[in-house]
Order: sequence, then structure tokens, then C-alpha cells
Amino acid sequence: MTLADATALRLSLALGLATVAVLLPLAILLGRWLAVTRWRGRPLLEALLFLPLLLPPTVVGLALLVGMGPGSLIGRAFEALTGGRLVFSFAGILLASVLVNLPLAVQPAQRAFEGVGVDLRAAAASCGLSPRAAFRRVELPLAWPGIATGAVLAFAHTLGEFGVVLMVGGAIPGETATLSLAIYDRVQAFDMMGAARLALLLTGISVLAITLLFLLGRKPGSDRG
Amino acid sequence: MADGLRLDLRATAPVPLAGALHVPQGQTLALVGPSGAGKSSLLKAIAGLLPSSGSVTVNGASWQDGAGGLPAWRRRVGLVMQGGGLFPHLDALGNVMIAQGRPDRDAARALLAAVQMEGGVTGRRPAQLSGGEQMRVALARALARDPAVLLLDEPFAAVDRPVRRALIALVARLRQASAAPMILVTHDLEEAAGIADLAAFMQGGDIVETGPSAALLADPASRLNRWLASA
Repeated sequence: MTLADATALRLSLALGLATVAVLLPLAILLGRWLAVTRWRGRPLLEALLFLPLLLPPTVVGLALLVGMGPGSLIGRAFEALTGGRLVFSFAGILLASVLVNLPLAVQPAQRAFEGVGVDLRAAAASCGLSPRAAFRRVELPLAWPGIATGAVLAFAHTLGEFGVVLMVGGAIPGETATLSLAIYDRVQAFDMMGAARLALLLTGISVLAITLLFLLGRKPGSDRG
Repeated sequence: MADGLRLDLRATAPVPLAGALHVPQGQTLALVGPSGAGKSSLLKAIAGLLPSSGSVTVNGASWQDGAGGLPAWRRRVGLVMQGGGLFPHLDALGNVMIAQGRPDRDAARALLAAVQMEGGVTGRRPAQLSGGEQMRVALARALARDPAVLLLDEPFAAVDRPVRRALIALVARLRQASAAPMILVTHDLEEAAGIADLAAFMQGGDIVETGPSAALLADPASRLNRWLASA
């Protein structure tokens, strides 16, 4: 493995972990809200959340490139805060990765919170648990396997993400050039053995990460309230 | 003022509800009526789990006066739901402890012992318990909050006859131990007659008849008896 490959690997892992870290609280809050809300606009919001999965990565990438560019509101705000550009930066591909993976994380969380059911929420209230305590001690432990599944999907998808990262990040070594982009570069250079080695490495990491996260997902916390 | 439970409630969904009841301290009211009469909905309205208007007063303290009132989690009820409503991720002991204001393992064990749940069975999760055991845990959990009102929604419905008899005897014993007014929803008043001091008959969301259970059962002209005869 070359130094560039090791850098790409580190970047991919950092992007995957950071994406999951940002997505987890979002998925829990949004998934729970979608599970219980009676808001009329819910189907439209759910459709919008699904959109990144249905559109081609180039379309999503282009939309994000424009939406996060130096002329955009988000791009200008980021530049004012940090002095740097959002596109072609790690922060940029992280934001893109979070948005693209939102449906993968939110959907399983939403279904898991829906599975808790009205009766158990009522039982929690009749046990004297405030809404916050009921969420922490009943809903979250019961929904945890679904939430962990969403995290697994988002992490694995981030490791393999190509189109959107390329569009928004531009494959800058050490900054936005992830492992999947490094594989593409090797193929472009007719280094098929090098590409295969990196592909195997990516596959191994994905399997390991998924196994670990599934094990975590099977531990819903303490047995006692 | 130990006046017990007084309520005068109305609701529109899921079934229209209207009715007034008074259950004195230390007494049990059997709430009887056909399926869909609104019995479970009335219990939920008392517990604050169903939007309703009207009044609920417990020993002189107002839980509700108009719409809204105290949120469900602040109404000190011991609720046994149909099927138990136990938390599947907690073992029997955990299900009791979660209802204690301050977790007290020994007190929770004592409550479980009072419903004849002792030893290794307290470490089992609901999926590993029989229907009768689940109802025992649900009863212990309902008592764990030191409730001001006990609401039991068909606790004997999902178990076979011998277990049902044991549960009825258990509820009768718990009745002796707690002074909280109790409402017991049941399809089978004759089985619960030994526990109930009072009975109320519900139909179409309305409480149409109330009185001492023995007197209602003895009166062939009562609406309750006419319904029992036609059932």
C-alpha cells in the first residue's frame, strides 16, 4: 500500500465515521418525529428525504455543487465562518455525504420508532415517565436495532460513495480523494492489481464495520430501568 | 379528603364517551358492557391518555377540570392494560422498577413476591413469561407507583380459566392491601362479582347504569342483567 493509498483509506474511514456521527442524532430525532407526527405534509417530506436515493449521483452532486458553491448562501456562510471554501473540502464532502445518506439512516429509525407502538408509549406515561424519560428509557432502547441498522447502511454507503464525492470534492489528495476514488484512479492508470488490492481492502473494512455495528445493535442497553 | 375517584367525562374519539362515576376510597367498580362500548377509552381518558373534557377529581385533588388537565405521566394511576403492556426490553424486575419514582430493588422484589413472582422468573423478559405471569408483573408494576387510582383493563381476558381464577384471587388480595379506588373493566361480571362493590354498565359510549354490583345483579330488570341475559 502506498502512502497515497493509506491517506485515501484514512480519509474514507474518517468520512464514514463523521457521517455516522452527524447522522445518528439527526436520524433519531427526525425518525422519531416522523413516526409520531400527524402533520399533513409528512408524505411530501418523506418523498423529499428519499430523493437522493432515486436520483443519479451526478444529479445530486450537481445540485449540491451549486447549492454549496461560493455564490450560494451556505457557501458564503461557510466562508465567512472558516475563511475557506465548502466545495472541494472535507467539510463539503461530509455535508454532501450526510445529505445523501439521510434517507438510509432515517428510514430504519422511523420504522423502529413506529414499531414501539401507542400502547407502550401509553404504558410509559402511566408508569410516571415524562416524555423525555419515556424516550430515553423505553423508546430509544426498543428502537436501537433499527437505528443501528441505519447507521450501518450509512457507513457502508459512505465508504463506497463515488459520484457525489467526486462532484463535490473533486478528488483532491489528502482532502477529498477517498478510497473509492483511488480505486478509480488505479483503473484509469491500468493498474488493475493495485485497484483489486484496494477493492479487497474496502470490502474487508465494510464487512468488519458492518459486523461490529450489528453486534452493537443487538445490545439495547441495561436490562433494568 | 379521602373521597375516592369522581369523574364526569366526555370525549369524541375513538368512540363518543359520556359518563359520570364515583368510586369511593377502598372500593372497586366493575365496568361492564359490550365490545366497543367505550370501557377501555374511559380508562384511558381517566389516565390522561385520551383527549377528553370534563372533570376528574381524586381524593379532592383535581386532575382535570375542562379540557386537558394534568398530563398522563403526572396522574398517579396504576394501569394494567389489556395484554399487560410490559416493556419487552426489560425483565420482570426492570418492568416494576421503571414505575418506581426512585428505583428500589428490594421494594420491587417485594411487589413481585406479592403477586407470586419470585426467584429466577423475575429475571425473565416478557417474551419468556406466560400470559398469567405477564399479568402478575403488570399488576406489580401498577402498584409500584403507589397509585391513587387503580385501573385494570380486562386483566383476566387473555388467560385460561384456572389462571383467571388465580388472578381474580390475587386482585382480591391486592384490593385488601391498597385503599386506592379501583375500576376493573371486565366482560364477565359474575367472575369479578366477588371483588366489585359497584358496577357500571356502558353502552354506545355512555354509562347507562350504575349501582352496587350485588343489587344490580339481583335486579332482573336492570339493563346490565338484560344485556347479560342476551349475551
